[in-house]
Amino acid sequence: MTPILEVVDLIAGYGRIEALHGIDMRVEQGEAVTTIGANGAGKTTLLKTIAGLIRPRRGRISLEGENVTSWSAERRARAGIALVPEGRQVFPDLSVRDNLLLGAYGRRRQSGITEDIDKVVALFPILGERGQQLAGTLSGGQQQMLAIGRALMSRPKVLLLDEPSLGLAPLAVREVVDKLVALAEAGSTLVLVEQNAAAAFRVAARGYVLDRGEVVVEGSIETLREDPRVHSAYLGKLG
Amino acid sequence: MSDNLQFIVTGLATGSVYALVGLGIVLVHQVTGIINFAQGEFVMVGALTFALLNEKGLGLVPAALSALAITVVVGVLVERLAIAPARKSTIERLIILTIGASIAIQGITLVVIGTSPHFASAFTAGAPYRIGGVVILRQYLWVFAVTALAVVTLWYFLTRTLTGKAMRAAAMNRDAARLVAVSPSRMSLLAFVLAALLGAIGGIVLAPLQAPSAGIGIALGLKGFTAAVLGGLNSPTGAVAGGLLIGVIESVAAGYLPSGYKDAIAFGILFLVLLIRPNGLLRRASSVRV
Ligand SMILES: Nc1ncnc2c1ncn2[C@@H]1O[C@H](COP(=O)(O)OP(=O)(O)OP(=O)(O)O)[C@@H](O)[C@H]1O
Ligand SMILES: [Mg+2]
Repeated sequence: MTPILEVVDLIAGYGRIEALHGIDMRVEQGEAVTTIGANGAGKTTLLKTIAGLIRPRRGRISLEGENVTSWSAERRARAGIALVPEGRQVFPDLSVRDNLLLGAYGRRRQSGITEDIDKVVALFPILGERGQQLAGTLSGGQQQMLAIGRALMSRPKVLLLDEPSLGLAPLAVREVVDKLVALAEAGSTLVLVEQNAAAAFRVAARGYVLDRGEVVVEGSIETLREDPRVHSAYLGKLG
Repeated sequence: MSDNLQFIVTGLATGSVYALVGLGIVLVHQVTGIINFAQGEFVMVGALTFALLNEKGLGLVPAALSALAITVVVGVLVERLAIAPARKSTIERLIILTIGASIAIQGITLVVIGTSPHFASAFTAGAPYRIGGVVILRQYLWVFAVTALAVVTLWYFLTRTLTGKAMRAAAMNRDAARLVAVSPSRMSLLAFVLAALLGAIGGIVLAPLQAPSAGIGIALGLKGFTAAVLGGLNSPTGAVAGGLLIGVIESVAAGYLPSGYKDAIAFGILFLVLLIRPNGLLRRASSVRV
């Protein structure tokens, strides 16, 4: 079966700095995959390159078997790649509802949008209560939910999430992770990037460990848990 | 007293045009970070096209529509030929490019149309209204009404339509906008189209009051820029208020000073404003406040 998302030998970076040195990755339909890695490992670079915000120097990115490597970020968004960016990046001076509406901007048909907003609100009730409020006035956890809701509004084929737990209070992390578990159980295809391995392992069934721009371990969550490198680097310090 | 009132009414009429120019500058600045010094040329192209066609006997509506269309084409050309190819270079360089575009537009107009002014007739014929000694030209009422309509329409577009919200989103966060399939490059083009429309509208209502020639763009652009800066450069309402204020100050002061000083007054204001609040001018703006 063709995977939803396939990354082959991806090399990307910034100017002269190379941040990814040949990444391979496969994500099947309905799968929840995680990529964990320390600060500066290249997680954000990987997701931005998949989403089209960074042009790779080499390698291929395919969506459902179609080579999208030369496509713009806008075109990839329309084709079904949605990224919940690092630091949430909601549109601060627009209302919560307008942020959600813009999530559906790239949809060819604007029908079914009210229904989809209802679905997002069912998942994140706070977004319904705060619909008319400016997104910039929400708390960090609420903004994270809005960023996820906005991405869902495009009805993505694959949802990429860049450290959604970053900077959130423990209670908010828990709430966000619970929602991601629910999304995964409902059959959404997810790629969750995290430094918080414990949180990531609750959501994903399979994972990659990224270190200095390279995949050093990959496999089922059980495999990752048992790997000594993962254990000492990511789980050890969490107790 | 009625002298001053007269100056105020006249000033509000020209000030409305400055307000439209300022609005166009704010819009482009918000979406692209660029200060478009070609904005005054949009007014010139709109006014001159309208006056020329009007002289040739074309009616008000077809002449106005043609002027709008031609100005939009000029706006699109400026964005696609000067701005878009250089999109990756610095804001300062892009601003210089708009100055280049402005000189080019003026030069081409001089070659094609010449230096002489052209005359458009007022939208509605008839004697001016007189209210307590103050003369109100019928064209003033057109200026006020059309300006108000343009401002309200722009506000509606930016706050009530999906495209308008997408445009503001692109101004707030370029990458986040791309992630929801909003193309900042298209939004930049759209901003220039709207700026050209605003400029042309200003030019069309102005033409019957001041016979336009190829050279009027520079002063109009700088006065619109002053209006925009007075309003803080990121506030459409501020730009409108700034434009009206400059129009009134200019008109009242011109009543007491030799007429050659008229332009100097607006530039004096610009000088003062830049001196008092020079910061934030070249800062990449974060959003369109409405
Ligand atoms: N804009 C940039 N310009 C230059 N180098 C960059 C830039 N952004 C990231 N880098 C470098 O690229 C490498 C990978 O960074 P990246 O942001 O992808 O890491 P990350 O895994 O997302 O880290 P974090 O957990 O801190 O978010 C790092 O060495 C970083 O210093
Ligand atoms: Mg990161």
